[in-house]
Amino acid sequence: MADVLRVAYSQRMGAQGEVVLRPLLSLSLTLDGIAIEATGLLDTGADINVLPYRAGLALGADWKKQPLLATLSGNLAQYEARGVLLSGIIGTFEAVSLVFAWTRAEQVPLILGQVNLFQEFDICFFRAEGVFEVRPKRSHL
Amino acid sequence: MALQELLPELRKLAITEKVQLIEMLTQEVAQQSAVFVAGAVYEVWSPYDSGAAAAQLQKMLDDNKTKQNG
Repeated sequence: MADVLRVAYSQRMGAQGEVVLRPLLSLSLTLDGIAIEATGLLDTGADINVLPYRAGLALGADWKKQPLLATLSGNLAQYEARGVLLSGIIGTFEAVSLVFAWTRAEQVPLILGQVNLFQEFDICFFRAEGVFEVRPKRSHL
Repeated sequence: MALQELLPELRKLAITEKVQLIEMLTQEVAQQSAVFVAGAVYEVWSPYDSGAAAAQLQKMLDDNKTKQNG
């Protein structure tokens, strides 16, 4: 098993046709035996992970059975959010528990934030080189 | 036409027309560049100040860990 996963920034087209680089991370999310492949935006400023509504539905999550969360901030404040606990696998690393604010918002990207993606993995950004590195927190090594 | 040539003509406009012109140009600039405009709505999805929800999610994780260990 590799100790470090090195990932290139993804190129995206901006609103004005400009090329922008984003730290997007592919991962597998599982709930009760149902798995989906997803791509999340690494957001060091986000307090929490955010799961778009459709992704939760694809995992078979039941909106009414998930606990209601306090109102989120920014554009997400206008949408109700519920907590959902998933299992996540990044690269060849061991599966970890990832908890998400499952929002009714449809347009929001999957966001990977402090609680708890950044608690489980040490991530170093090398923006000048256009790459970032991911490794499990030390207690997982 | 250069701005210096336009200015004398623009100064002849009524105040309401000047305001209209400012708003129109502000909108155009905003559409053509990355300038932020007061009163406009911008998408900021990042939940950067969601401490209460973060505490709730952290409790879900801790409870799950306790359940698995117990």
